Amino acid sequence: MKAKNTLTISVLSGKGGVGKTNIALNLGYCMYRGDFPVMLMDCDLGLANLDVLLGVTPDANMQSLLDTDTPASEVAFPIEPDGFDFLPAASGVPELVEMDSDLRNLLFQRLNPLFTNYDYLLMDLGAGITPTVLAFAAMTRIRIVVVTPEPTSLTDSYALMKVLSTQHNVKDFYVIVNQAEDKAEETSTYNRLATACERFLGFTPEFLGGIAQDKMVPESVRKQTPLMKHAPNSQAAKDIFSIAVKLQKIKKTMLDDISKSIFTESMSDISN
Amino acid sequence: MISCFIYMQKRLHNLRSESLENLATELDTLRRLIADSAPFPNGEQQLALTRIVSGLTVDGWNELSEAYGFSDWLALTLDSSSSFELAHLQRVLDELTHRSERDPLTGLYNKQAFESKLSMELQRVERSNGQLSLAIIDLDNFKNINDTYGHNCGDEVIKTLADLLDASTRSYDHAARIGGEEFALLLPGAGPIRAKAMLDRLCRMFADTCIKCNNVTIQCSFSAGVASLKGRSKASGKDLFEVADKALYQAKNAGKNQVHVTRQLIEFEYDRSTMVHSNEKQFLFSGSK
Repeated sequence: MKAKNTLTISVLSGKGGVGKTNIALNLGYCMYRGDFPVMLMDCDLGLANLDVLLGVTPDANMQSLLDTDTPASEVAFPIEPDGFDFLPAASGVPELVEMDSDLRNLLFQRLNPLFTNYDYLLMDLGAGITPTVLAFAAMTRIRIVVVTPEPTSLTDSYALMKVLSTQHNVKDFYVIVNQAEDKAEETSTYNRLATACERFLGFTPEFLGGIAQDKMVPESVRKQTPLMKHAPNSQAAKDIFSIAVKLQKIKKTMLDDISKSIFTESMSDISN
Repeated sequence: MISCFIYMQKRLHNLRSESLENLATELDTLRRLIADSAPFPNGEQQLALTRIVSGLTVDGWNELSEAYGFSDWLALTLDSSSSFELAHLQRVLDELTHRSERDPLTGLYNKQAFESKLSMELQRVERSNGQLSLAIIDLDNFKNINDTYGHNCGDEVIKTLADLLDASTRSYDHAARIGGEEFALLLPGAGPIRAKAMLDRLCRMFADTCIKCNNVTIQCSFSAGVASLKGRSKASGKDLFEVADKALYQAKNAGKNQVHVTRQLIEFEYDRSTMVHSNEKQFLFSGSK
């Protein structure tokens, strides 16, 4: 397969339970349906859940890459034929949660050749502001911060962006507002976060889109089927589709950068 | 500049892993120093650095150089005939180093050697994001002992404490005599709680020790101040000493024969720039200040 210009995207939130994993999965599904090969990487190392959302039970996971000589291509688990693959992480392995820079470099050394087969690499990060979350977020070309209208979701996302901007000099973020009751709540949630960033941190995260509160979302989770497949006509699915379209446009503006290397320079120089 | 590293193979004993670790740290430091101070990489001056390491095998070196990235060092095996002179030279150097590093009365590290251990451990802690504690130990009422029983007995007390520090600490701890009746203990990997427990134990053991000298039995005690730091602290060895000194002063003031631990230095470590302040939170909650 010809090497592609892979756009790396991390999906983060600070707070857990705001729909990060589900959004990553469904954005991936949209892109795959648009004929763009997608790799979905479960980066919630140690407490991985994507396999549950997908209803799959892969044998190998990223831990196998580090422990054994399993080729990276064998760890990639096909969610859909021809172009939607999934990299499972191990659950219940505390060592993986806090991998050091050496281990991280080793992991990506093994994975990078595989990544170039895809148009998109979507990394679903864990909650919190652990060094691993920070390092992964700083590595990717695009960072999507998922928030809900809850005040604690806002403060946790804000804290995450503050740490990334002061410690890793990362100041470009896209925001998705999930589970807002209506457009007004969606807008006020984004505005509050954006204004706080502008006022206290000196940068403004960009609004990527909102995803409406929709009972089809929990239903698709229970059915272990991506929402885009289970209820493609639901409001939430339409919202996610618009976001995917927007990302595809953004990608076109970034081709110069991503054709040089799929990750940012911080890949190599983040210590610990 | 061309650097060359020579070691000698000797099968009699194997290097323990911690000495390998020390060797790695040493080479790493050296490499950084050379990189910092070599302005003309293509200059005509060339220097080969030679160091004989007894007990290191080819396999051992290969492992080490792979693990720590020392493949730019050249290693040569020496057989016994060609190495005899070099080995003798190395022994003399070792002996000199040992003598220049040790306090003659107690055999513990002297102040200078201790300070270099300290700076090495500080680097290690920064890289590994680990913990490090420094204890300064001072004998209580030592002048009285000298005045009452004479200097010989004073020396005996000092040697007894030195032996205790040497024997009752872990193999990777460093003990030193840094002044007349003042000692220092460096505890890699120990945070304030563990350091306190270790020093408390030493303090009790020493207070319970009966020291015989000139047919009298002397009992003596010490006070100690402990400073700890963690991870990417910007604190220097001097900072650590200052904080431990203050803690020692508090231990003395509180009645001696005890250990004081300070948490002061730990506070250096927090990167306050990333902290979310209450006005920021308030804004996110309410949309106004």
